[in-house]
This record gives sequence, structure tokens and C-alpha cells, in this order.
Amino acid sequence: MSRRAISWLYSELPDLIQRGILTPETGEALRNHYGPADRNALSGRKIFLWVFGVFGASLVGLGLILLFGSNWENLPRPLRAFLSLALLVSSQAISYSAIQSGGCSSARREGSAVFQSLCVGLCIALIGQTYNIPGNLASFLFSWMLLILPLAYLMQSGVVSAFYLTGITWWAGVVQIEGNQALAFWFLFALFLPYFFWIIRKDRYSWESSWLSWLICLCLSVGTGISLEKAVPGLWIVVYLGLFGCFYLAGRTWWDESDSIWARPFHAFGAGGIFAISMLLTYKGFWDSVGWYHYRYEKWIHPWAAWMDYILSLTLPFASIFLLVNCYSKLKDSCILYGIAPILGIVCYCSSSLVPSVSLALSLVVFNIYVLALGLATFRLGVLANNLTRMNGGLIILVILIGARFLDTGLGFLLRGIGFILLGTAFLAANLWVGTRKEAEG
Amino acid sequence: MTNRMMPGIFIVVCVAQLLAPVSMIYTHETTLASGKMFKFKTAPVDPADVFRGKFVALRFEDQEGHGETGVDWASLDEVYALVEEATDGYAHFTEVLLAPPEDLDYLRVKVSHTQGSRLSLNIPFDRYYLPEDLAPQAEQAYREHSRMGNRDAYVTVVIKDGFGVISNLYLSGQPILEFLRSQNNPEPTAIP
Repeated sequence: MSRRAISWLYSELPDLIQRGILTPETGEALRNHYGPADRNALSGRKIFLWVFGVFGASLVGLGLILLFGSNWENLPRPLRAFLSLALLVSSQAISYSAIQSGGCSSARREGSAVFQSLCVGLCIALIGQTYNIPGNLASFLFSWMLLILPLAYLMQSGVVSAFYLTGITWWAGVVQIEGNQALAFWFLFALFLPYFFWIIRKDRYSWESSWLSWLICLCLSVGTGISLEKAVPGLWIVVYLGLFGCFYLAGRTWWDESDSIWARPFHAFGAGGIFAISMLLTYKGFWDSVGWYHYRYEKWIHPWAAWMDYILSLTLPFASIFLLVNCYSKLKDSCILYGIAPILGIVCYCSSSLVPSVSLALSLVVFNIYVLALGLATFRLGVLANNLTRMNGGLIILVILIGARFLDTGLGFLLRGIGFILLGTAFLAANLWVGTRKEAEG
Repeated sequence: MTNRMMPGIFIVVCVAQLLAPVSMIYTHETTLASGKMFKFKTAPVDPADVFRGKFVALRFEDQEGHGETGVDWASLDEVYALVEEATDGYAHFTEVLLAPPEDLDYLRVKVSHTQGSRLSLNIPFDRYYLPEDLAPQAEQAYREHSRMGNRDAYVTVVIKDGFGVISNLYLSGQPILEFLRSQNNPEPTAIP
């Protein structure tokens, strides 16, 4: 039985027992049968220990970085090299003892894994300092991240995996700024995926799954933008709508049992991303000079690296269409509105590339109507479900769209002022109405 | 993965983590021990690098070599610049080759841009680390020496098989630390 169903059942049990439909013994038997509703919830004390364990290890590691980095010129070179290695070995010994103690606390496991990860970077940096090795941030980050990734698996460390995700995204940014291509980002990301699948297989609604999923959404969104070679202008439209479409539909398919936004990262991030990209596409500038006819031949473009752009622009939209069909068969039409964005992106991008004179205006109209529909539908769903968050989300979409069009047009201050007052009033009235209705329903 | 395998795999990971710094130490120590030393004229400045303490950023006066025309040098990942000691005692780049020479001293470099047969080289040394409190003084000392028209800053680089390791930074013929110490604590002049 799903987590949501178990929670519902448990909330009904006291009433059922009070009415005599179930005996207290049967209620207890049901509880024993299904177990706790939130199996992986961490107690307050555990979270406290975990946070302070990780924090303490990070602070010690960072303190050592500053201490060693500040001044140790007076020590002879071999001693400096030895101390750098000794620091790494001691952090490895701490982690080994945590592994050997088997069922040690997650705070100890995480703390030692974080400390060892920092010591790996510190050791390489100190050797670099000792021998005046030329500064190459990209290769430093690359080796550091590859060397700490196994710790995420072996120590089951969420913080190290978060550190790794952040590090590879940082690496991709550095490489791209240096004028090289960051294709290896995808390889590095793929190395992390088995760990993530293992975590969500245990419990996809757990605290660790949730914050790791949020971070994956963030790093993938940034990493995709960085690693695109951008040889064909505007291909990002198809790639990003495909990516956010996949996030949203994956969230709807596999993370739909929780009511909290925090526990549905892919759903929330995907919906937000689809709105943000669609909103950008209501501006003419983003449709100018897109497509094959404007292929870039600049020196900084690596044609072979651009193949990843083509692979992404094919796989992501197709994956999202596959997920849309799958999602539709389960949830019917509730996933269509956001899930259809990648298809709109492909159609508008292809037509704007082939016949820009006709399609440019059409694409603008399509995306204006689409964002309007997103706002209205989200608002309607919020009202129907008495869900203030969703209702206000819909209103915010509408306000942003209407506000943007207001600023675009040459309307005078008076008309703009009246427009904004009407929007604000609608906002307040809708909130008041739903609030009153909720109160009346108790 | 079973729990029994975990310590074994962890040890393999630890060895890999140690191999990276140990190989760096080995390469640099063998070069310093058996390479040939050259003096490269420099121009130091002082940026801060939060990760690696403070250092003097290095630029070199001579960053040019000559290569065959008709080769797209800038697109190559690595080329081989011959290093020779000129009559002034400092190292200079002469010819740039596509393959490493057998019996000559050379550095593995990248070409940043070309102008005919003249190739501008990216020298693979860009920093010399100093104690945190001395790095700003090092820069100031260099500037003062420059003002007097006394451009005498250089680094000694030990080169072996195309790989170079900086061994010291000199100002006025003295290692930088000694120079700064002598500036901070000047020896008392003899009273006649």
C-alpha cells in the first residue's frame, strides 16, 4: 500500500474505532501489519546529530585548509609532502574505523566521509603548493571529484554525493569558461546515478532522497546549459523544455504520493522550469535567428562536441513524450498541460527554423496562450482542491505574464496602474474566497 | 556489495587517493634531483588564491619561440620548445618542434597564438608560493627594483624530459625569502 494510503488509513483509525466499526485490537493489528507511515523519517535528535556531525567535520577540514595554506614555508619540502600525505592517511583511518564499526551512526559515517573528501582535495592542493605546480582549477576539480565519488557509495554519504554533484557542475563551468568543452560532465553525472537509484529504491520520499533530488534538478539544469556547445542557435529551447518536461513527468509518475512540495522535487522543479522557459519564449528576442540556417562557425565551437547537443535535443523530448503517454495512462489529463511543453517547443522551434517569416509570430502567440493556460489551469486546480499554494501559484503565473505584456506595450501609466490594481484585487479576492471556504468546511 | 567486501574496496579507494599525490611528489622530486637548472627572467605580481595560500604570480620576459610556418600550432595540445642558456645567463626559447628532441633540453608547452614563424608560448609555470605575510612584500620589492631600472627577478627551473619544476625565485641574485629577510632586518653598518 502506498505511503499516502497508509497515512490516510491511520488518520481514519481513531474515528473507526470510536464508532465501533473496528476494535482497538484490530486497529493495532493494522498498524503492526503496515508499519510506520513514514519509515525513514529521522527523529529530531538524529537530524541534530547528523547536521552537527557534518558541520563539525566540514569546519575542521576547512580550518585545516586555511591553516596549511597560510604559512608553512619554514618547513623543509619533504616534511611538507609527508605532512600532506599524513593528513590524508589519518582521515582514511578515521573513515575505516567508521566502516569497521558496522552499525555506526549516520552522523559519524557522514562526518568521516566529508572529512576524508576535504582531505583528498587538501592533500592535492598542498602538494601543488609545495612544488609550485601551475594552477589548473579544472584538472584539480576533476581529479578531486573522481577520487571522492567512491566514498559516496562506500560510506553511503549523501553529503559527499552532494559535494560531488556540486563539484562536477563547478568543473563543467570552469572548463567552459576556459574555452574547452565540458562533455565529460555527462560521464561524471552517469557515474553518480547508481547511487541515486539505490537511495530512491530504499525510499524515494525519505529526507535524503528529497534533498538529493532537488540538488540533481539544480545541477542538471545548470550543467546542461554549460555543456551545450550551442553550435545550432536556439537548440536550448528543445533541450530545456525536454529536460523540464522529463523532470515534471517523472515527478508525476513516481513521486505523486506526497502532498508536500519538498517531497516532490522533480514535479515542482519541472513545473517551475517549464513555466520559466515558456515565459522566456513569449519574448521575440529568443526566437530570432534560430535553427540550422544560422549554424555558428566560430573558433570556440567544437563541432564534434556539438553532437551531444543533438543527442540531448532528440533524447530528452522523446523521453518526455514517452513519460507523457505513460503518465496519461495513469493520471489521465492532469499531467497533459505541463507535459505537453516539450512538444510545443519542438513544433515551434522547427517551424521557426524553417519558415521564420511566418512562424516567429505564431510561436510568440502559442507560448503566450500556453503560459496563460498554465496560469488559469493551475489557479483552477488550486480552487477546486482548496489548495492555497497551488491557487496562488496560478495567480503568480498570470500576474507575471500580464505584467510582462503590460510593460511590453506602450500603454500609459494610468492604464498600467489600473491593470495592476485589478490584478492585485483579484489576488486578494481569490485568497479571501478560498480562505473563507476552507474555514466553512472546517 | 556485501559488508565483507567493503573494507577491501575501501582500501583500494584509499590507495587510489594516495597514488594521485604520491605520483605528483615522485615526478617533481625526480626532476629536481636529476634535471638541468635554467634561469628564467620573470615579472611577479601578487593575487590571492584562497585554496593554496598566497603566491607570486609569474610572467616571463621571453615567451616566444620559432616554428615552421604552415602548421596550425595553436590547435595542438602540446608542442616542444627547445631551451638554451644565452650569453646573459638566462634561458631562452629557440625552436619549437612537433616531436620531442632526443638530446636537447626542452619544455612541453602550448602555443597561444602565432605570427608568421613567431610562436607565443604558454609557459607551464605561473606561480611561486610564499608565506602569507611575505607575498605582498615580495611584490612591493619587485616594483621598487623595477623603478630603479634594475630588472633582476628570475626563477630557477629544473628541467628533465620536457617537464619543469620551479626551484626558487630570486631578486637581486638572492632567493626571495633571504632577500625579504635582509630587507626587513638590514645588517648594522660598521661605525668607523
